[in-house]
Amino acid sequence: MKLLIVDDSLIMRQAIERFLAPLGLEVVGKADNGKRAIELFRETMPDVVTLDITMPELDGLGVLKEILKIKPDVRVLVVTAITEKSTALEALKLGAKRFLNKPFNEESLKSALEQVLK
Amino acid sequence: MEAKELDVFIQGVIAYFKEVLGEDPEIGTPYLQNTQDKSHLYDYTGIIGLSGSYRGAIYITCEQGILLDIVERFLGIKNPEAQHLRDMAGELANTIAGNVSRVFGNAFHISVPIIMNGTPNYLALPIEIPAYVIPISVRGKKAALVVGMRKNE
Repeated sequence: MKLLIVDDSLIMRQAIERFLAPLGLEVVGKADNGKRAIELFRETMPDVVTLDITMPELDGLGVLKEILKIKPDVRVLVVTAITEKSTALEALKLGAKRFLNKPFNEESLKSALEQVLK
Repeated sequence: MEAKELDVFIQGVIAYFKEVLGEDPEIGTPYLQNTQDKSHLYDYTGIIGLSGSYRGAIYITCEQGILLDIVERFLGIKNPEAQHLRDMAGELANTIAGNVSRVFGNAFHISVPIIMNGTPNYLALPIEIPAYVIPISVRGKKAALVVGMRKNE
């Protein structure tokens, strides 16, 4: 399965790639802002996306709306520092499969993604 | 700013380090920031602007050693590049600010981080709101979280 990682933090992009490596997903792109995420999504058509919320250019909820128009069955795991409930509810209502709060660790991230892939 | 609001940030700092480094940080007694005092400013600083129901800003300023420990935890490397440390300072500020949003509500909006590399000579929050310094020590290395925010009427 093809994975796109979207986060404005370099460390988080690399950590997500490292922690998810045991799952055997093919990382087809890493985007550091919302606009680039949509460009990479169109180019690579991933099966699963990890998506940050607070980003420059276009935030994660804006990205979520756009990528679901392009590929309605894409599986999205929102990974964000925002813990306020209505943001999580909005993401889930829009079509995200799951919501994971930062800071995450290897086990919590892998577990959340495995749930998304079920 | 009320003491209970400051406590939300203190609990956020404790939770962050407990989750990421597996140990509680030592938290010093918070004090009102004097903008002429730079004794609480360290090697890397991540600044987050606040808007919506609150206005103001927060920043976390850290000795390099704390960021080295966190980067090692996430990436498994002991000698990261300077860009990793800069990025980690921003992500640390973003995470602590984002985590407190569950208490301050859905109109508590945080900006993307601004990052400073090198100890600044002077750092005042951009608006005339009293700011509090929360001293932090982790594994003997120092940091401080500075919070200056006011609820919009």
